[in-house]
Amino acid sequence: MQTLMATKSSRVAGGQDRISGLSDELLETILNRLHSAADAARTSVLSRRWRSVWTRIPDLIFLNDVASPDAVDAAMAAHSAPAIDRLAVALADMSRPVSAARAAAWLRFAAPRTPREVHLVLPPKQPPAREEDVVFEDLEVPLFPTTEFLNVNLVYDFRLRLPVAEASVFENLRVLCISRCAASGADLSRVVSTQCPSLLSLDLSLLDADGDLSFRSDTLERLSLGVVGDNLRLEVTAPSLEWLQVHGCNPAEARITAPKLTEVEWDDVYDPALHIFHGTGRRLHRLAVTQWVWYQVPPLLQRFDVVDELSLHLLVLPVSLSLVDRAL
Amino acid sequence: MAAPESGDGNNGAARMVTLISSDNTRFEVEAAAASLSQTLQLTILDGGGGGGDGIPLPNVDSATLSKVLEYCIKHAPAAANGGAPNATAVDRAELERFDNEFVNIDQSVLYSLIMAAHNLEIEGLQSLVAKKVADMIKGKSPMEIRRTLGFPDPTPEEQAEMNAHMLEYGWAYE
Repeated sequence: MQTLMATKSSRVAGGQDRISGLSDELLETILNRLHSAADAARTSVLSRRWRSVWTRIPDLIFLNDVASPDAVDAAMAAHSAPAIDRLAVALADMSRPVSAARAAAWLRFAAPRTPREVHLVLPPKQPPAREEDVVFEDLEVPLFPTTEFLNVNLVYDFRLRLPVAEASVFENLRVLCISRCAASGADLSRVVSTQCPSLLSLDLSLLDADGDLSFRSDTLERLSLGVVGDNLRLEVTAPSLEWLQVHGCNPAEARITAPKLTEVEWDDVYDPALHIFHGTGRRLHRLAVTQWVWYQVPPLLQRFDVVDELSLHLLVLPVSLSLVDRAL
Repeated sequence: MAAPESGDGNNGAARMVTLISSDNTRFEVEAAAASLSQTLQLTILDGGGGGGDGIPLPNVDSATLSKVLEYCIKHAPAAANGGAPNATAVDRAELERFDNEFVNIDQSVLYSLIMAAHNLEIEGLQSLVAKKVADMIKGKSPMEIRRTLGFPDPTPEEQAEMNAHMLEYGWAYE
């Protein structure tokens, strides 16, 4: 088991190029610390000894500003280890857009290699002037039964196709972040409520939900909702929920059952008749509200009237500044 | 039965263990420091390494072992605190300063260290050296990497092979 420096060639013994005497395992450890698949792949040119070392690194990371989709394809084609620990793709170059089919192929590459973390951030795309001109592309999301952290930041015209109900579950998923795409509210509700038994944190932002959302989770502690939807109705039943953020949703109705809730950030319009907190006491550790109507006390301050820390954002149009002055 | 940790009992004196390098040099260190090594920790928990016995380390020479122990002794207090959640910023900054200084050494020593850290399962040390070597490679062209790592200049044949290879790996050079 214990390997010491191999005296492989006179070159090594002669005090040169000692690094090539390290075991493959240690070279992989070193190349993995580059945190860049491209940097690691560049070492394949050093000598025959190095040709395939990089193809076994556990983390495939593409975070460079100039990383291209072609680099991701090529690295995946060459990678040869049966498992990966992390896949992190963050592309920003708008001149090289990524299709949903390509992104799906990357996810399909990762899923059977049982990564602990998956991050997929795609370059943004300019939407057409008219909303009806948007043509949606389906993005098939495979199951990641061992993954703990799944973060996808996609393109507005991608529509998520989530694993069907009969499929098994995201057994180990702790953190799920979905940004900038469309999804069926019913599918999303089903996945979160029945297929994520370990979920602690759910973050949905710029998500175009079609249909209502109904989340029921015994494990969920943090929930951030930035969901755009027509006439969105929201139902959350989460006995462990401690932190809730609602921003840019403007839900027509919300029913939140969260007895352990201690922090609320509510940026949207709040109407006590339509947005109901069940089981939460009047006291919060922290409350952050954005008040859209300057002349009244934010109604959420009446629902939660004992707050250790209050963060109040007043949205004031410049023309009404003098009125505000007078009112204050 | 050996006490699992030093500290209590033994009149406050820290429990010591003896490690024997491949060239038969004996090193006496606190059990807490040696226990940064997962492999040694098991032996020590079993009561090994005390008295006149010593734990032989046939794969680590004395120069490397003394360097390894320098790292372990420095990191033992923080490790005993379970990653030191209550360590002060000053403590952490001091450890960081020590680490930076510690790996500022000859490449051949770095490689001996990473092998020893791997064999002895000292995760922090292995990770520290791996990062140091990675930093030497990062952002460099293949020729620069070759020079940095002490590869001999390529023969014309090797050079031609490198060029062909770089073409094939164009995506890695964007």
